Amino acid sequence: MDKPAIEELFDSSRFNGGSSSILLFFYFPLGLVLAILRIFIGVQLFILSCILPKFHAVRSVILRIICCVLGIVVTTDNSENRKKDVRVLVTNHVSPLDHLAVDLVYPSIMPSVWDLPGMLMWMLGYRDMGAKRGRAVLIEKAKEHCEESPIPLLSHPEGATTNGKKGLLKFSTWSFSLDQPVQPIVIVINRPLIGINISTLGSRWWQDVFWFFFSPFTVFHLRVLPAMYKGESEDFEEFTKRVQDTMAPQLHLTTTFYTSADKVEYAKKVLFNPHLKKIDITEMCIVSNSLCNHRHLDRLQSLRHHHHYQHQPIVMLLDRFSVMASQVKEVLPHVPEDVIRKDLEKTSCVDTTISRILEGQVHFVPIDTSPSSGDGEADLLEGATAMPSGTSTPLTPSPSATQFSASHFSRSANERQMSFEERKQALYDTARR
Amino acid sequence: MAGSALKRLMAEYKQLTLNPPEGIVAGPSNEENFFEWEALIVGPEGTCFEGGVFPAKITFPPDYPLSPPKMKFTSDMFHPNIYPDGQVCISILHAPGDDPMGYESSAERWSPVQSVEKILLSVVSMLAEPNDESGANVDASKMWRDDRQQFNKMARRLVRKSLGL
Repeated sequence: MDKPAIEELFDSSRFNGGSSSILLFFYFPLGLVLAILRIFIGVQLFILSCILPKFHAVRSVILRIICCVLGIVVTTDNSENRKKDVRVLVTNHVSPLDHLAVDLVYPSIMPSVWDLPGMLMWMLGYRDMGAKRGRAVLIEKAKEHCEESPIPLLSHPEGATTNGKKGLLKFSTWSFSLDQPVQPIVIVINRPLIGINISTLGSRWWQDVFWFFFSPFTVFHLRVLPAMYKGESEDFEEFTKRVQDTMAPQLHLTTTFYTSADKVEYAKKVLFNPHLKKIDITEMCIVSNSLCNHRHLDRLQSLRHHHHYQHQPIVMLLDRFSVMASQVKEVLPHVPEDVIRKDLEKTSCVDTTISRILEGQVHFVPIDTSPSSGDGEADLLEGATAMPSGTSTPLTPSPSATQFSASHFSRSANERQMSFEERKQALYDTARR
Repeated sequence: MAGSALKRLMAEYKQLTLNPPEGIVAGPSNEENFFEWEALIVGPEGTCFEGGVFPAKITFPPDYPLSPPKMKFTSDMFHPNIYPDGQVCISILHAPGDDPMGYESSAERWSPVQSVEKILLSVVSMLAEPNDESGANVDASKMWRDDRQQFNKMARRLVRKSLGL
């Protein structure tokens, strides 16, 4: 089967269009009322789920009924395959509520990646396993959990959601190294009657949840596959690949080599350059050649290489100034785009413009890119080129073994200093092992 | 001038904190002075420096990013492209026009679009593949060319020393 292009893996708009859009038009007022009602019922559910003892049969029945009221229907298939002693569940990732749906049928917990308060985390069925202190800590804690507790651990090895129509993202190996065997579960999600996509590129979790409440109902279909063991001669990477190869045909999907990081990159490209057009590689080379600096051509090519775009139409900016402006923007994200463009028209060179801006020859009002800046230090922080706020697609943990990153960048110099010292220590600890 | 340098350094620090390259930790050693950074680099896998942790000091000029920073290893190093005092000699740390050794092509020079991350990555690849034409450390260059076994032995000793073993 052909390997799908990255843009086919995600939905870019919420609505499918076509004949169902007429239906949607009439349904809209009803859906809105339904959504508001369900939000209130949802709060009740939330409180109830806190009161009832977790991992108890009654709780699961009650919660399932209320979830049906909220329009979340969970059905299962081949549940005889589910073995009680399997401690690791892996599923594909199609919506932000996947873990909830699985949790309803097979109580499980999920290692948290976010810095939530303990209480809230517990209520949402997450557990802090130290993901923010690096993959080594996460794996260690998760392994401990598998040994001590009978409650299985749920993970989405894809690390990011897809539309579930074309392909699976590349699985990260960490969840397969925790315990043997591993129980794969495939999730097919279906929203009958009106065509509203579950999750779109760059959407936030609460937006997706709203559309869950808005739609008449959404069916999660879980199919449990037989537990899989790692072969004697297999390493974890091969085992991971084998599980992925087993799951893909069950979903009528193909496996791809795109990772969750590729999704973030792609989202950034699409969402921050609305006038993006698809052109062929040949056209791209012409565009690049006209740049003042040939290094950028190399960069573009290496970028393309990195994202496996070689044999596909490449997503590129058509006009030359947009390419250059976005390069300047990468270096100096706090400078407004129109100021950059104006200066580029004068200099027509990326490096000259950057130098001019840095030297203060160009006047501009810095854009406030941080959502909640208020104090003076926020000014310093806003230039960050980390993930822009618009693409906060939740990512499940797949930190690399030797990456020593912090979960967040504190406003306070002291905290930053502490985190820096901690990370240095972590690096030494890992190296000495 | 120093304001924009500070801003840029803060942005790079944030980037390196949230999404550092593998085996690298870097940041200001003391936030009182943002122009003095400390970096820890893990010796790249599959090379004679594998597993070592090498601390280095990065000093930024007040007109950063127009001028390149300086980088100096604070642990003992024995490498063709590192001066005996620890100073790193690679092309990305030199602005076009200043070329102490006269061997660099102008392609990979410092410019404001480079970054601390790129420097650190270049240093990692320098550890993996020394450039014996440069000769910041002539003894190391010679040994790298003529007696690779001895060089690897020296490197492994440095790795153990860097870990305090």
